[in-house]
Formats: sequence, structure tokens, C-alpha cells
Amino acid sequence: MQTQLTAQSAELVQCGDCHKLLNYLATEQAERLICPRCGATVHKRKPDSLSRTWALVITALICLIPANLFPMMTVIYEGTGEPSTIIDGVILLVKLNMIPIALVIFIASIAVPFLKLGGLILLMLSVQLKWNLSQRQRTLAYRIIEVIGRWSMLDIFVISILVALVKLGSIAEIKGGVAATFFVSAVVITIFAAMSFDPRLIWDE
Amino acid sequence: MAKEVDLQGLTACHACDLLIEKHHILPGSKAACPRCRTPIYDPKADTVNKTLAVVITGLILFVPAISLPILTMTILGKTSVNTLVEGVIGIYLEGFYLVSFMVLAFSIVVPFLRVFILLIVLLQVKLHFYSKYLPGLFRFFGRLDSWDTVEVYMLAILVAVVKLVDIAKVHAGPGLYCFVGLLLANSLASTLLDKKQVWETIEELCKRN
Repeated sequence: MQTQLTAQSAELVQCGDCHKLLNYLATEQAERLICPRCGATVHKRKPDSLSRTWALVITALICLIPANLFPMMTVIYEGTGEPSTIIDGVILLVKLNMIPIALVIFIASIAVPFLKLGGLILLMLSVQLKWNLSQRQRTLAYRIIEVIGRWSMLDIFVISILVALVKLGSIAEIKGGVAATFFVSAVVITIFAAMSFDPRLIWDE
Repeated sequence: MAKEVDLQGLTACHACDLLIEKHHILPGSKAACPRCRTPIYDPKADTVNKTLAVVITGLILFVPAISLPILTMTILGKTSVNTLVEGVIGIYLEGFYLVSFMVLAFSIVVPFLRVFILLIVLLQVKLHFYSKYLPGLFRFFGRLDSWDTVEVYMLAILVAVVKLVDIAKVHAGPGLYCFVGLLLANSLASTLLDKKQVWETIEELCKRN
């Protein structure tokens, strides 16, 4: 049987940056504990983890509303073209029978942001309301959330490539839409939200 | 309690805080936390030399990758090209300042800082040259991990090509090959780098100076 002794219960603390194990008691007189190896400020747990993550998650959710309702880009081909939102873009690709690309855009732009925020909300609620869910699975969920976030930048990169490439005056032109600003804000805020959640809270009793 | 002696043989899981006894792990095998199953350590053989080689390659490819044309498009005899830098300028000129700033940060600044900082850190580690900025630089490198989007940009190039392929002729430019090289160098650097070993070397250098 593995001991269930944590660093915290043994008066130890691990540096979040270089993962060095430090003795908390020896240095507690100081106002804040600085890692002697890498110079980072060390905390037993990320400070105000839950309230910071809630604030960022709610902000990101608010940003996602205009990001999905307003047009992301306008494709003007031979003088005509209508602004399209993220979901319009996906539907158009499905109609053109480009299913794999439609799926990629759908996953990166719609599924990932919402699943990520939903996942973080679930993790925070499970910690705050002491839900009896598998701790191992919740830790795995957090690791997935941490990794997938950056893939949401996909649509923004596609727009930046298309805007620069398709500049052919009267023949074809692609313009960005207001949703891009909200979407990029949502992506960056969600990455910060995932960073501010402390997975060790899942295991703290 | 003899805390110092205890600490030498112990480590903690960064995902669940469990105290774990250190074991000697050979390169090629991996250690995971027995409680939460998060991978904790994955040692690499000859990490400094191998990563350094890859990082130098990445830095050489960086300038052509961002400045040479990635894609060339032809519609009705008219041709236009696109580079990474133009991607940023294009949306900036349309008035999307925040978006262009983020694209600049994600697609150019972060990949550059990652290879550049890693080069400086590994050179110092290899040549046993300690400066007071070394720990801070490597710490900053670790924090850039969440913002590394080179693979995402590669997928974005593919999506852009597929979207345009029906209306125009799209060709790969020389910048694309350099960008693919940069992508490979960037992923290889992450795979070959043994952060724990580098931190331990930095700690030794710090003590000696």
C-alpha cells in the first residue's frame, strides 16, 4: 500500500516552476518563500486558485457569446460576399462536402473552448461541493484541458493567413470580422484560467 | 527530524502533491505518480548536446520561416504570396489590433523566444558558464510551454490551403519548408529536453559560483 503522505502534510512545498522540494518551516519567517534554485515565488497551493479561475472562466464565457454571434470573416468573391460567423463557416464547409476540414474547425473553434470551460467549471464545482468523482480521472481531465487550449487559435491563424493571401482587389478579398477580437480574447483568457487552477485541490481533503 | 537528509531522497507529484521516494530511472523509461498516474519524470540521454543541435537548427530556420513566402496563390493570372509577418500586418491594417498583436505573439514572438532562450541556457549549461540570469531565463522558458502554437499554425496553413483549393491555384513557397523544419525542431526540442537534469546542472553551477 502506497503511503498517502503529501508534501503539504509533511510541511514541505514543491516549487511550481522547477519542481524542487523545499522545507516550508525553515523559511516561514520570510514574508514569501523564494525557491533557492530558480528564484520563483513558491506557494503551497496556487494563490486564490478557485476564485481566480472562476473569474477568468466567467470572463471567457462572456467573450464567447459575441465571438459566436458576430461575423468572424467575410469572403468577397467577384464583388459579392456575406459576413459569416464561426458556425456559418462550418456549415458552409459541410455543404461543400469538405467534411474533415469542417470537423477540424468545429473541434478547434467550438468544441474545444466550450468543453474546456465546461471541464474547468466541473472540476471547480467538484472541489467546492466535494463531489465523489474519481480523483484520478479528474486529474487526467485537467491535463487534457491544459493541453488542448492552444488549438483554439487555429481559426484566428487561418484568418490571418487568408487575409494576407487573398488580396486580389476586385476578384477576391477576405476581411476579418469583429468576432475575431472576442474570440482571441476568449482563447487567451481560457489559457490563463487553466493555468490558475491548481490540480492538487482535487486531492486535498 | 533530519529534514535535509529526507529531502534528498524525496520528490513530490506536481499534480497531486503526493510525496514519492526517488528511484533511479534509466533513459527510455518513464515514472508516473502512483496515486494520480500523472507522468512525473522521463529521463533523456545526452539531453544538452542533442537539444542544442536541434535548437541551433530551429534558430537558423527561424528567419526564412517567418520572412519567405509560405503560400503562393494564383487566381485568373493574378498572384499573391503570404508570409508569417504579412499575416500579422494584414490584420493589423484592417484595424484588428488585439488580434494582430496576439497572432504576432503566438506565431512569431513565442517560437522565437523558445528557441533563443533555450539556446542561451543550454550553451551556458554546456560550457559551465554561470550568470545570475540563468535560473530566471530557464524559468521563463518553462512558462512559455502553454503558449507554444507552432503545430497549430501548421494545421492552420493546411486548412487555408484546403479552403482555397477550389477557387485558386495554391503552391507551397520556400517559407513553408523552413516552417516545417522549425516545427520539427521545436517539437524535437521539447521531446529531447530533460528539464530536471538541466535544473540540477544549473543548481550545481550556482553552488560553485
